[in-house]
Amino acid sequence: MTLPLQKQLSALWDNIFDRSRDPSKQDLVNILAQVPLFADLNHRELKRVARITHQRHYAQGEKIFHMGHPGAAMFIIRTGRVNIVIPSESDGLVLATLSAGAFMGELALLDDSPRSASAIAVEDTQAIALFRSDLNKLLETEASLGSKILKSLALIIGQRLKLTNQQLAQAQMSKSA
Amino acid sequence: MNFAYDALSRAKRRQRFYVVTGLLGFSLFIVLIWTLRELTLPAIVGALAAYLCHPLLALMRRWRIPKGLAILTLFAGFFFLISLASSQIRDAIPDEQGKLELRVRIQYKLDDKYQALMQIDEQGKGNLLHRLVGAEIEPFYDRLNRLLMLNPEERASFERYYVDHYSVQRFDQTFYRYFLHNLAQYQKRGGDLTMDEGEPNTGSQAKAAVSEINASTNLNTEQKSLLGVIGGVISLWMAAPFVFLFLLLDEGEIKRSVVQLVPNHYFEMVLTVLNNVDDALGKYLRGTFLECTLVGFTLMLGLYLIGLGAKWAFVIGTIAGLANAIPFLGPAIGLLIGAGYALIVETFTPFFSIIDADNMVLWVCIVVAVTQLLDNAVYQPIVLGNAVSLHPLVVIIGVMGGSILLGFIGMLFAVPVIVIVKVVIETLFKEMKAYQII
Repeated sequence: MTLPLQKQLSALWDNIFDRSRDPSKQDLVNILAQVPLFADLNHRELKRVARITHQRHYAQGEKIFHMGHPGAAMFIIRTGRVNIVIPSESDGLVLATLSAGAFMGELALLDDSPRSASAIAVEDTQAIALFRSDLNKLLETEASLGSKILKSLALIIGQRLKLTNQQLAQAQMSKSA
Repeated sequence: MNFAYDALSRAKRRQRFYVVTGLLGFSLFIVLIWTLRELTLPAIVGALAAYLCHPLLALMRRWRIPKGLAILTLFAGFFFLISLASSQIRDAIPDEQGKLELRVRIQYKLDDKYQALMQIDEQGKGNLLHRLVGAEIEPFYDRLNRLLMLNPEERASFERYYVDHYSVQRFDQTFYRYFLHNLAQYQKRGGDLTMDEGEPNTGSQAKAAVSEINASTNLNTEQKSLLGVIGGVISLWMAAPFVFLFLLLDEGEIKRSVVQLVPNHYFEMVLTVLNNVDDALGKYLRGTFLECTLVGFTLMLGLYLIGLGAKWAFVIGTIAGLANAIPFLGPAIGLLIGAGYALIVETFTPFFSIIDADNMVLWVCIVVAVTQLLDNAVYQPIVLGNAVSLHPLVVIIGVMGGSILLGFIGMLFAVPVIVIVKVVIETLFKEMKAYQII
C-alpha cells in the first residue's frame, strides 16, 4: 500500500531537515530534560540547548577536567561514572562519585576561575559539555531562555551554599561537643 | 606472524593512526585548496560577509524576528548590494572605443593642465616654474605622453569610428577635436606619428592587416572562449551567496565538528582559544568593515558635493572605501582615482560656485584629505577602539609581502591574515600556560 504523496513528501522533508527525529538527538534532549539546570525549559528550548552542546567520550581513568585549570565548560554525564577528586600525592581525596544525569563544573558557566577539584572517569564515560561562551551567545540572542538557565544555576548554587553552611555548622557543633 | 605488531600497546597504535591519518588529511586538504584555488576568493567573500552579518542576525533575533526571515532579509540585502556595486562598476568600465576616448581625454587634459602650469610659448620658453623644474619634468612628461598617444592601429580605429558615426560633423565632436589637438601637440613636441613605439611604419601597416585577418578568423574561437570564461566566472562566483547562506544558517555545527577532532586533554583550551580568536578577529574585521564603509560614504558625499555626479561619486567612493582596508596605500588609491577622474571630467554640477574645471583636482584632494582626517580622528577611535593593533612596520611589510605574493588581493587580505596569526599565537600561548600544557 503506497502512502499519499503529501505524506511521502513530509517524510522526505523530515529525513532531510528534521534533526529531532535523529534518535541520538532525541536521546540528548531527554537527558537534558532530566538535568535540574534545565528543569524550567520547554521542549523547543531544550532542543535549542542541545544544538550548542558538545559530545565527549572519556576512557576509564581519563581526566575530564583538572583542579587548578581555568573552567570553560560544564559537563553532564550521559553514560558512565565520574569521581570528583582533590588530587594529592597519594590516591587523592574522592569527594563524590557522579553517575548518568548528574552535572559537574557548573561554576565554569559563570567565569573562568580555576577548578576547585578534578573530575576523573571511573569507567568509560560519555559526557555532554556546555561551553560558557555558547551560553553567553544564547543569552544575547534568546535572553529569556538564557536567563532561565542562569536562574536555575543561581538556585542550585544557593542550595549548595545552604547545605555547606549546615554541614559546617554541624561540624563545628560536633567539634565543640 | 605479527608478534611485533601485537606487542604494540593500544595507545601507540592509536597515536600512529592519528599521526598517519592527520598527515594524510592535511595533505589532502592542501591539495584540495590548491586544486580549487579559483573557488577560494568567492568562498572567502561569502564567508567574510556571513561573518560580518552575524551580529546583525543576532540583533534581528533579539528583536524576535524569526531566524528564517532574518536570514532571508540578510541574504536579499547581500545580493542587492553585490549586484548594485558590480553593475555600477561594470557600467563605469569603458568598452574598446571608450578606452581610446579615455586615453585621448587624459592626454588632452594633461597637456592642457601642463601648458597652463608652465605657460610654454611658441619658442618653447615657459614661466619661472618651467625654467626651474622643466628640465627634470620634461622627460617624464614626454614619456607619459608617448604612453598615452594612440598607436597607428588605434588611431585608425578611432578615426573609423568617428567617420562611421559622425561623417563630416566629427570635427564638431569634442573628443575628436581633442584627438586632433593631441596629434598636433605630439608632432610639435618632436614625436613621429609614422612610428609605432620605435617600429617603422612599413611593418605596422602589414602587421595591422595580418592582425585584422587573424582577428576575423579567430573571432568564433575567441567568442567561445570568452563566453566560457564569463560562464566560468559566473558559476564560480555563485559559490559566494551559497557560502554566505549556509554559514549564516550554521549554529556552530562546523565548529563542533572541528572540536570533535581535538583530544580530551585540550578540549576546554581549544574552545577557549577559538572563542577568543573569534572575539578579537570579529572586532577587527567588523570594525575595519564599518570604517571602510564610513570612509566610502564620506568620499561619496564629498565628491557628489563638489559636482562629480552621483554615479561617479558612488563608483569612486566604493572603490576607495574598499581600498581603505589596505593601510597607508588605500587612501592613495582613492586620491589617485578621484584626482584622475577630476582631471578628465567634462560635465559637472558643483553645489558651490567656487568650484570649476581648473580647480577640480584640488577639490578632490581636499575631499580625500578631509575624509582621512575624519577617519583618523573620529571613525577609527570609535569603531576600532579596542580591536587588535599592529605595529605600522608590520603592516607595511605585510602589505608589501601580500602584494608580492598575490597582487591586489594579497594586499587586501595581508592585514587580516596577520591579525589572525597574531591573535591565534597570543591566545594559544596564554591558554597553554593557563592549562599548564607549557
